[in-house]
Amino acid sequence: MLTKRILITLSFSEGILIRTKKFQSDYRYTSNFIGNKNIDEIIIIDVSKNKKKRKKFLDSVRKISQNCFVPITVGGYISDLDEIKILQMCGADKIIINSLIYQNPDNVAEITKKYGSQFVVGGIDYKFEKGKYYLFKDHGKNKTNISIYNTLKLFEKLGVGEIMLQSIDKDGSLSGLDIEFSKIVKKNTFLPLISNGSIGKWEHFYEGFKKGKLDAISTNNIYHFTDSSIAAAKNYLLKKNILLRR
Amino acid sequence: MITIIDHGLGNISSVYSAVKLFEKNVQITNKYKDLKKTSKLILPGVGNFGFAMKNLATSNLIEALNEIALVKKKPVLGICLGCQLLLEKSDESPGIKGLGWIRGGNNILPLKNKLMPTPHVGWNEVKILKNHYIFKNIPKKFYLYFNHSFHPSVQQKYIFAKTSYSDIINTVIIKENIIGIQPHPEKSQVQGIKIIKNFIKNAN
Repeated sequence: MLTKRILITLSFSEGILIRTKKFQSDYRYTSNFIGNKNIDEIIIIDVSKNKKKRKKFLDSVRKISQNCFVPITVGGYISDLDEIKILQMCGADKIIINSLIYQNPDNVAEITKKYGSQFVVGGIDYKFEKGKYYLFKDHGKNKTNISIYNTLKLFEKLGVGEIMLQSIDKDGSLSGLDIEFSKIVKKNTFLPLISNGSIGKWEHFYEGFKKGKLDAISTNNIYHFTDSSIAAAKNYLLKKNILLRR
Repeated sequence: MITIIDHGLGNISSVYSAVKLFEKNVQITNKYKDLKKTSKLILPGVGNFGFAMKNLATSNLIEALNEIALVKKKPVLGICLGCQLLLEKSDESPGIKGLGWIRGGNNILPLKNKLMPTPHVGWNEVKILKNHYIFKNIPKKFYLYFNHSFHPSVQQKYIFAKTSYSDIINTVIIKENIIGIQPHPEKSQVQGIKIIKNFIKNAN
């Protein structure tokens, strides 16, 4: 049986490891969990204001990948097809595509055809406003009018291999996952589903896997705020019969 | 010299980093002249079957690779797409010939229900069926990281480990000096790194 996955998200702003809150940089606490044997995958996101310090970001990815033997997914500012080869050389096993899907879907199809579906994670950034879910592009800056259903079908059509959900409001909040949203998404797609952010306690993982039917949960801040390690989260979930890699 | 083939696709750096843990003499190349010194060959990869075969042909590598694997019988390790390339063909790229070192083809994973989406992504249990040096110091059942939509179909005698998903996946296939592994040992922490180590230390 395929296990559920526990991931960590490392956000970099101008090449520096940070944490985020509502998609804004928060420099209070940084750390490094690369050596942790319990983590199943690592997500590295460039949350810089612009691409000026991209080289510094790529250097960080390269350094992490040299010492890390779990899959690495890289996201943020991925729109340049020529850069993909460079990202791979820096150690990216997968990339997250978000804005590109709205701007140039043909490019996404080109990437999945060349590198395979398993290489591309489709990012969905969303907000709940006035009783409705809205999807956002450009790192949470611009609202789109495209529905969740149509976005999922577009991802499938373009050959995307996984979906990653990020609630902009809940980012950094430690308030738990938006179970309703992940249920809606899961109902409408066959693609494996990752949720990123807002885990505040181990129960939130359990809810996400059990009620939200998520395949993977990534988070970051909780690992800073508690003394317990990722191993403790896994032990908690294993006791509750969630299948995980030991 | 351990040679990692660069067929233009996939994260080759992680395979390189893993091999580097155990062996200094390692090169990444797509050049014919570099292959002569090869003592062990690694075909890594994620990506499209057809693209990869086309890139190998464009780089004029196929004949040299055939010699290493079939004439000199040097140890060969194919990982993920590299494992699929060892076979004759793939559903992914109909009409395109693989290396054909092991008889068989690659089939697409069936889509049965939402609990088993395609691609097959994540950590899944591998069951060892037959002993082999590649499994030294590894338990009979262990977890490796998978990320694929196609999987190898070969004769029973070549299947050394399997995994259950929407189909039974032939996780490790071996014919003499040629080893193919569908998941990613270089991305599978402690147990995966042991596989890389076993290939480097024990293959000859």
